[in-house]
Amino acid sequence: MDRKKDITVEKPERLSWQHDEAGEKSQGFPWGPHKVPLYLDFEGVSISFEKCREGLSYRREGSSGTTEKTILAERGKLLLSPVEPFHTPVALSNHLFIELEHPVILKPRSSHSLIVTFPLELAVAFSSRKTEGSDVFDIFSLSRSKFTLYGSIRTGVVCKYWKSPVFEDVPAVNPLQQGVMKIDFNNQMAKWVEVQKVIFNAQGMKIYYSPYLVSLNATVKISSEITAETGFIDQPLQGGMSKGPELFTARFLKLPGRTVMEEGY
Amino acid sequence: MLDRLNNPLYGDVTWLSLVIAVIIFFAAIVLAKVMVLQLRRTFKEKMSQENLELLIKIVSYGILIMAVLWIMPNLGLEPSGLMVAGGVVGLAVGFASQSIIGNLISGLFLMGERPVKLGDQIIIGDHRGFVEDINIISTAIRTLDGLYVRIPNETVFTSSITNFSLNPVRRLDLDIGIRYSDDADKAIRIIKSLIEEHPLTLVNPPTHVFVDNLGDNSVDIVARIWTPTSEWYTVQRELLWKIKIAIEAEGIQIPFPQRVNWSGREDG
Repeated sequence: MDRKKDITVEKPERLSWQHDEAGEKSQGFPWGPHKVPLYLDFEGVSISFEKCREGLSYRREGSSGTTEKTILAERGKLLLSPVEPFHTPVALSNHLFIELEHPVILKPRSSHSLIVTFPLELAVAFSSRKTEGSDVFDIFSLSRSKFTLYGSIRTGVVCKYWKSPVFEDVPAVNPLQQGVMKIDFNNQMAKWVEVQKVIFNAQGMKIYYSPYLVSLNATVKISSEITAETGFIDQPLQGGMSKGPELFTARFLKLPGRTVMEEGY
Repeated sequence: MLDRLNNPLYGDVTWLSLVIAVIIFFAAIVLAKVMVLQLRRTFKEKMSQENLELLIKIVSYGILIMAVLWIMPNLGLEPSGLMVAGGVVGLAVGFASQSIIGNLISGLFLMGERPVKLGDQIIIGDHRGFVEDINIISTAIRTLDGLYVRIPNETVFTSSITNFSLNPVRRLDLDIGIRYSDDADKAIRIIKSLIEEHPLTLVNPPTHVFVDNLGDNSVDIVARIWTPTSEWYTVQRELLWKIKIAIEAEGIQIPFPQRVNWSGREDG
């Protein structure tokens, strides 16, 4: 009688990540790409990506509920990446309103760079060799969402709201909740100006990320007492960063990136 | 058969030219429909719905008008002759169809002034609903319970229009009554905290929560909250009940209408 061979089935490894609040160099976040199967836990969220009868099964569980998707493909990879923060809880706005915790004052005809933080959303995308690029099929956020109005009740714009401290150097932040934005302020006026808020358009946001940091590089040009122009520079803050997917691209007849703030800063 | 078609119908017009005119007219209708489909597919994501519908109307009416001008000679009608006759006919038609002309002109003014857009929630007279279509003679709305209402443009143009969707933000007023014996400051703190936590209440314009009235039955607190217009109903549905549960969990009650009767005692 033949003895059955003992078959040892290895359980797939469960990856776990947690942000180090103390700010010491912690383990970098595993953005991906990840092959099947994947079991990943972070910040109260559990993601599983495994084979099923129909193809590939994706499941995300967290405090906001459970999301399940079935991908009708035999093989592929899962990619997590930070994206522009305009999809959750509802896609209401294409503009980001950053209120500075403490206003900054710029001297006449001067330039100065400062660092602020900005909110993030996380996108889950699927890519396979057969298809070009990757397709985002889930977006969620770990940071709190708020909105605000910029301008008057009749003509204003609803913006995603974020309040940020102002830093001289890159701070240690949770790369799943906040990114770090370097803003080059340029005061073109012949007088002192006080800046309390800046508005950015989603189109033209160039997010770069590494396992430890998510970054944006932006400019603010102050041209009059109530008008400023904001935009982005396509450049990472540090070397070795990967470029995130741009979900907001220029639409037909619309040019990307520049936002004119006409209701004050 | 072909010989019969060449027989004159009236004047220089033969049966054949009539058949050709009908075929051209129906071909123009089919072409207009195909163009409408193609325009919708091509520009649906590239243009706003309002501008797309306007473009579609211009193209489809343009094709039909060109077809009519093309077949008029086949039917023995000269466009130049119509211009002369048109003056007399125009007067007669004008008197007979004043309201139609009025609606047409109102429609043109509405297209220029644009007090309402497709998809806006509006009230015109007794009708409340969403604007489904703005035509040259009438405006169609879909009521909140799904009924179709066609309103002549003259009515739309001369009536007061309340447009709930025009501004990007809208204020939501919530009235919460508590007992006189309850701590109003505590109730206000709880309400403010819940409003601040909700992602769809705006930071600016700011929220105001305060005692608005010392009523017969309760201390009336009002919360004035600004929300994005598209989310007004969602916030109203979610927030009021959350507030009720939260304040009751802290021992604060929403009283029923009540009367306290004091009766005097005769001394003596």
